[in-house]
Amino acid sequence: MSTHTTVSEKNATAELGFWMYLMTDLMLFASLFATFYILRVGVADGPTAAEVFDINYVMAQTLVLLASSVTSGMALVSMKFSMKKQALVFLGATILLGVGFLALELNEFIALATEGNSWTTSAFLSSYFTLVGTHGLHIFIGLIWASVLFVALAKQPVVSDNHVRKLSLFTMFWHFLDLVWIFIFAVVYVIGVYA
Amino acid sequence: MNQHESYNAAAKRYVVGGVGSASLILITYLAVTSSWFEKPMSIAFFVLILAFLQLVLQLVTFLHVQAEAKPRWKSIGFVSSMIMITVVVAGSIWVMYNLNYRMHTSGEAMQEYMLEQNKKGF
Repeated sequence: MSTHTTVSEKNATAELGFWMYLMTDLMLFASLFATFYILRVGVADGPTAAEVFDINYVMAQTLVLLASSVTSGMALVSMKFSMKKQALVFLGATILLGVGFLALELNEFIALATEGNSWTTSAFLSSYFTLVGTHGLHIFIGLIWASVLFVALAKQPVVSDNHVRKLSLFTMFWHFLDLVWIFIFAVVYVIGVYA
Repeated sequence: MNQHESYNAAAKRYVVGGVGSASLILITYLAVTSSWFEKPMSIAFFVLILAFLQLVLQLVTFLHVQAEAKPRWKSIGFVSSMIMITVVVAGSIWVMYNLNYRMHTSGEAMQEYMLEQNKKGF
């Protein structure tokens, strides 16, 4: 057995550890999904899902987040092949698309709340704001993370393995958030409205 | 991820994943906006199948899970999480559905019933 760890071993260990964190986060989202699914019929005197959600708006949001997931992956691939400039362009695009997604979501939240349909209106809206808001909070934290990475990478003249690892963890996080959004789109906005 | 993958192969994965996911989202959109199905149950079923297809597609193309070396800890972790999630989600929905079914007495009738039970003492 060797007494020192190689770079690729270190990367694999970090990725596995971060993956395990993502799995616990998945549990959190699963419980929020179950809560939403059960409470979605509890509209009290408030509006139903069909009355407050617009599929075209959510489609735009979904495609923006998907595009940002693709660009984050391309940033990682560029980094692995030591194309730092290209990596920064893709990471910058990821941040911009992420900000766009969050802006669309906040705009929807504000529109709902100002029309009197806030989280205090009904069990349906409480569980909706909790589920989608938790996802939005993750996106917000991811954006801070990506911005810090962007600045750190821009300052470095040479691409090191440490940078590749740091970016690969962020990329995993970002792909994970897109995976969760697939189900928010399907369960909350499509099944919630049409089924 | 695979260290020996070429740049083109890696970039291709993301293009395939992105275009594939976008198509699946578009099919979901068309299915509900142009009412391909009538029964709510069929809509829900169809939409969930497409969502799971997209999950698998993104796991393969974005997260590249199939390239993981043995022992596949990430895949094992993911599968066991999915089992736990199925128990939590399906279990919660089942229990609450059952509760709703067995207690479908409404407002006042329920109030009376509870008062009656209260008189009997615990």
